Order: sequence, then structure tokens, then C-alpha cells
Amino acid sequence: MKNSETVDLPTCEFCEQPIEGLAVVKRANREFCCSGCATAHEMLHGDSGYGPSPELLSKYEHLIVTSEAEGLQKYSSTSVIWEVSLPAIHCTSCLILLERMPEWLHGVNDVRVSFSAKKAHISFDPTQISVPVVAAWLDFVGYPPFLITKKHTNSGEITKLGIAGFAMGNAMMSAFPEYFGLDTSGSSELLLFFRYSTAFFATLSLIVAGRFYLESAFKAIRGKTWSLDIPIAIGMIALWSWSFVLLIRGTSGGYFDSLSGLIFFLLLGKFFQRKTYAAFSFERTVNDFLPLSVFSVDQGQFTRIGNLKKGEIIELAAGSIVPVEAIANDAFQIDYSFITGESEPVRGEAGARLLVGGKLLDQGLHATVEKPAQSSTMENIWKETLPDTGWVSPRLTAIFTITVLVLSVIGALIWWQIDASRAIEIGVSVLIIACPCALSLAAPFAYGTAAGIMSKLGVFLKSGRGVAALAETKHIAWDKTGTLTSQNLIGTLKVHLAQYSTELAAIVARSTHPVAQGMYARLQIEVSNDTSIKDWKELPGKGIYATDAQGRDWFVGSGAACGRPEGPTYALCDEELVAIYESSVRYRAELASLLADLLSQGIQHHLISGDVPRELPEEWRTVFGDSIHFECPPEKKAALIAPLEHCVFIGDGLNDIEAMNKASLGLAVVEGKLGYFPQSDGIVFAVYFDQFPKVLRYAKRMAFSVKAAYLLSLLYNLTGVLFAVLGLLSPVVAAILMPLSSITVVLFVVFAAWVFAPKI
Amino acid sequence: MNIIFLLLFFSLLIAVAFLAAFLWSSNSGQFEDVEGPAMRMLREDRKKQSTNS
Repeated sequence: MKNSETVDLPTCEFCEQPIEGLAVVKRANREFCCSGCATAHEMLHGDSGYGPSPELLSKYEHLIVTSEAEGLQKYSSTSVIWEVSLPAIHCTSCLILLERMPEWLHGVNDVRVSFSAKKAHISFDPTQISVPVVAAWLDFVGYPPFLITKKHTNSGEITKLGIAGFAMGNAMMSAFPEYFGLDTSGSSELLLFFRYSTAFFATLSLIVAGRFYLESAFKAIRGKTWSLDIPIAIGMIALWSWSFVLLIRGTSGGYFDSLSGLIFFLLLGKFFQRKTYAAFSFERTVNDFLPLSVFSVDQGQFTRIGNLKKGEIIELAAGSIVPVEAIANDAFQIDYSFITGESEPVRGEAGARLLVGGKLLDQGLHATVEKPAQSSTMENIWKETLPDTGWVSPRLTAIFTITVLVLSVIGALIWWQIDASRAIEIGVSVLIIACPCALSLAAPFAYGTAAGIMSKLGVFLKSGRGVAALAETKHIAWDKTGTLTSQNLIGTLKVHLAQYSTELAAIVARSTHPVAQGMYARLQIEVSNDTSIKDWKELPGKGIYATDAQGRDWFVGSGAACGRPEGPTYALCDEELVAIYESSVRYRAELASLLADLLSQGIQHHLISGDVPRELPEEWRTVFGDSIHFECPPEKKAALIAPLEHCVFIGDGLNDIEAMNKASLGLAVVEGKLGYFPQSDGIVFAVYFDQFPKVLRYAKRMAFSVKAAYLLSLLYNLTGVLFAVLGLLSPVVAAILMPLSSITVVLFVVFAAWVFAPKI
Repeated sequence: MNIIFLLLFFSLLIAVAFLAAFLWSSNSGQFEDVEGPAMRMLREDRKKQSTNS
């Protein structure tokens, strides 16, 4: 009965909190605690016709063909689960709003958000709601969905690491009694029990977790390359087989505990190296940008891009991306900035070719498929990044491995003279102790920790490898469009004849050119569905020509095209000056000193831009010197970067993919909002850009620390080999020396990473 | 002396039980999202409230 008191309190329809006092907001017979809740409820429940616009719905229409490959799992005719990536997820409210989706969208049964991966599993009834509608609603509430085409899980790695840790703990535990002098005479059964259980745990670890190294070494040998996995695998095999011999002979428990420790540390290093930001997707494929399907006029339905045939007629809506190479059946205007980097839209007549990746402006059209998917220009731009080649260079690995093998043979030969019965033991001991475990741990731990620290300075690298690449930087290639300039291009507008403002706004509103858009923004006049403007045309490099309702001729464009001084943009009505617009491209303010700072670190700057030539501030000219390149299509950008060694490319958009792959490190500058991640080796947040020289200096210090750590681990190896050659290596020495070397090297680099960390 | 084998057997049993628990939690995806559950608990439980009333 006590509960009845709380029940009587009215609760808010939206947030379900009890409504306190008189603060009741009533809307449509529902009670809310505040107007915020009321509005949110109205929006989400469609009470006042809120919901995705028809344009938004049509934007996702192509998802109608979504299948298993895109994360859609069918359980029954009335239940499917769609796994989708929602990069905009960032806080608790996001999670709560999305998980309450069944309450505000009819047909959705359940939503489970995976916060760290920024994914959602949406379970819905396909007879009541379709994928495009769900997608449009997600976009409407602020979470534009991205399809998941590649499954990526790291649970297997965690499992392996867990098993290796378990095996190491137990193997070492059961090896202890012997080290501490378990009386061998009295309790041989107990001793054997401990020995065999140690062997069991180490073998389990080798089979489950260590197998990877053996396989990887085998692959490297077959591929005739040197990888550090080869000496590691040799060491592992030597450890296991010699220990097995010792165990069978009954001389000692062998080195099984060292083996299990070795495997665990190696896996830990690998885990650290791969520790990436699950929320960031660095791997982008063409399919993330192209629509999944397109409306085929011939078939009368949406068809997967891959199933289109040559000669098929497709319908492309305004604002859609061209998914296959096609011949236009109508006149069109298209924006190729995705592929060429050129911001000027291109106009074409019927019969002209539409290239993949172009975005249709103005109006939709019908087109005839020319080349079916997979053979387009876009695919060529997107090349697979090079496979991982290990931290230590193949040459160094080769020298190391051969030296170890030679030392092992020499050791065995010398002992052949002294005591032939111990020759094999000595040879194997050298192989065991020289296993480059610590050597292979130094770089992953150093750079992994450093990458973590860099993320606090707004630099997110795909892997620790990026830190090593940063440390070697000799050249920086800057892409001007988005990197050096801020995306906000609004300049100053001087209006001379205010009575013409409405017409001017109508004219510039139609253009997608940044200058026209800037003028439109400055005019602050809303234009919608304007039909009074006739004969509107835009000539690249000149400007816009149009005629208004009163028959006056308009021109908005450059000084050169109307016989006035170069620089600003003029708006003329019947040769009369209406307005002057200065498009001040805003260069990132902090950049001048930043560039100079980098220059003092011995880095050469290059300006490589897809834009038309523009005026540069004087101090920049001195920084870049002769290396200023304008009007570079993606291939030329890549060609300019290819000969530069240790070149970091800093760009922004999709059109930089090829250049990013050619450079030793490709960084993408991201402005504020998370939600779109270009393919790159790393992401730099624009607001943290001034920290970049610090980050670079830090990377260099870390590279130095890694070299020092290499030296340290080589010293350990040398000591170990000395022990082995002198015939002093026993399981106890190995059990101490091997983990000790790994731990000290790891501690050394992690400590260095914290000490050198730049202060924010 | 035999009692030590029994003790060892039990200690190993416990260790294996922990390993099994770890494998189960790892395979059921408990390490995939380590941030979400902490936020989810902030959310009011709708069903509980409605059953109370």
C-alpha cells in the first residue's frame, strides 16, 4: 500500500519522471514535466507530422536491397536484425534515445547499441517497416547510418591472450617447487606431477596462442622474406623440443615455464600494437560512398549495382552519386569534387559521359549504363594499402637470425671438442636464449603507448606504426583545399543597390560555388522554389549569367569577365554595380607559426592542391619556396608525392586517397564533428592542429627511445648467449633472464613514452 | 603425501573453472562493448515502473 503514493503522482509521458508541483505541460491530452520533453515527444511520435522529409526517405531508398552482406540477418518472416554503424553516437543520451527506438518508431522491436564500436543491432518487423525507412529515421534523429560490409571482431585475440595468461600463470606456479628445491629423492611422484603439468600448460599455450608465430614464420620462409617471426619461431621450437627431451630423460623440468611466459608477452605486445580506436573506421571502401542499388527503368525496380548490365537505363535522382559509368540521356550538372578535388561543378549535355563518384546537382536524369561496376575509375583510385611488414627491417632480421644460427653452430662445435655429450645442448641453448622476444616487444609497446598519448593531443593514428612514420618525417605535403584553409568561406559583402537584393539572392542561391554560397549566406534572404530567374547559366572561371522576371540581365562573377579590377566578385544588373563581394579565404590562423616551427625541425613543406591558383599570404611563400602546385588531379598529387621519401601527406577529403597511399603516412584533418572518417593512416582534429609540431617532436623522441631499447635487448641477448656458450644456461637462468629482459624493455619504453609526453 | 595431490587437483579445478568463465564471457561478447553497460544503467527501467503501479 505504500507504493500507491508514488503511483498517484503524475509522471511525464516522455521521461517518466514524476512531475513535481505545478510544472505540468499539457499537449494533446498528454502531460509532460517540461516543454523540452513535450517537444521531444512530439517529434518522435509524429504527433505534429514530424518525421523524415520525402528527400531524406528517397536518399535511403537504395537500401531496399540490403542483404546479409550489409549486416541484415533474417530470423523469420516478421523478424530481422540489422547491424548498422552509427558513427554519430557519442554520449549516454545517444544510447538511451536509440535503445528507446521501439517506443517512437512503429515496427521496431528492439535496439541494442554497442557503444565502443558505435554500432547498433536493430530488430524490426519487415512487414511493418523497411530498411530505408529505418535508415531515414536514424538520419532524421541525427544518426546517419553507415553500412557494415566488413566484420571486424577482436574477441578471438582477447580469448587467446586470456588462455596464454592462464597457461603462463599455472606453468610458472607448477615450476616453482623445483626451483625452490623440492626434495627430489623423497617425492619423485610429486616432482613428476609438477613437471608434467608445467609441460601441459606450456604446450596448451603453444598450440592455442603460439601457433600464430609458427604459421607466420612458415609463411615468411615460403615467401622468401625475413620477418622477426622466423627467429622467434626457431626459439619456440628449440625451447619446446629441448624441454621435451629433458622431460623424457628425467634430467629436469625443462624450459616450459619460460616458453609460456614468452608466448604471453609476445601476444601482449601484439595486442597493444593492434589496440586501435574501435569507434574510428579507418578502412573505407568504395561501397561506403556509392549507393547500394539504383532504380533500373528497364526492370522497374531497384537493382544492385553489381547486377546492372551494359545498356540498361537507370534513373538517377538529384543529389545522388553516380554508381556506374553511364551515358546521360539528358543535360546535367555534376560535382566531381569527390574524384578530382575540383570544386567547380561540370555541366554536360545529353550523350555525355557520367563518371563514377560524381554527385548530380539540380535535377535527376535517366542514363544508360556504359560500364558495369568494378571496372571504373573510382576502383582504381582505391588501392589496397600495403600489408604489414613487421617492425624490424628484413635486413636486420636476416643479420640477427644468421648470427644466432652461426653462434649456435660455433658453440656446439667448440663443446664437441670439450665434452661431446653436451654439444647439442649448447647449440640449442643459444637458440633458446637468443629468441628476440624483447626485441620484438620494444617497438609495439613504445609506439602503442605513444599513439595513446597522442590521441589526447587530437592526433589519432591507425596503429603505432604511424608514430614510427611520423618520427622519420622529412617532407610534409599539404593539401590546400581543406587543410590549410578553414571551411568557412564567408567573406565581406558590400551592397550598393539594396532594392535588388532579392533577385541577387535568388541567382546566387542556385550555384554550389563556394563564393556564391558565401554571398547567399551574407545576404541573409531565404530563397525557396524561385522560378522568376530565367536563362541561368554558370561558366567556370567567369561567373553566373541570368535574366530576372523584369527582363534585366544579371552577371555575378569575376572582374576579368566584366572589365573590372581582379580580385573581388561583382554583381551587376544591366551593367549597374549591385554588390561587391570579397571572398576572403580564411587561412587557419595558427598555421604561419606552425609551418615555421616545422621548418625549424628540418622539414620541407610542399603545397599540393587541386584548386585553381589563388593568392597566398607572403609568409607562406617563403615557407613553401618553389614547391607550390595548383590544379593537381589525384594522379598528379600521387605522382608528386611518390618520389619524396618519408613524406607525410596532410589532406582532407576522399579525393586524396591515392596521395595518402603513396605517402609514407596519410593524415586526414577532421573539422569538429565526428561522423565521417576518410580513409587514412590517422586523423587530426582541426582544433588541435597547433599541437602538431609537439606531436612530431614527441614521435622523434620515441623513435630514439626504441633504438635505445633495441640496444638494451641486444645486450640481454648477448649476455644470454654468453651464458649458453659457457654451458651455464639452466632452466632457472632462462626463467629469470627471459621474462626479465622482456619486462625491463617494456617498462623502459613505456616509461620513456610518459616522460617525453608533451604537456598540453 | 596423498593429501597434496587432492589439494592440487582442487586448485587446478578452480583455475580451470575461472578459465571456463573467462572463455564464456569472451565468447558471449562481454568484452566487445565495455562502455555501454555503464551508461545503460543510468536509464530508467520502464518495465519495472509499470509493474509496480
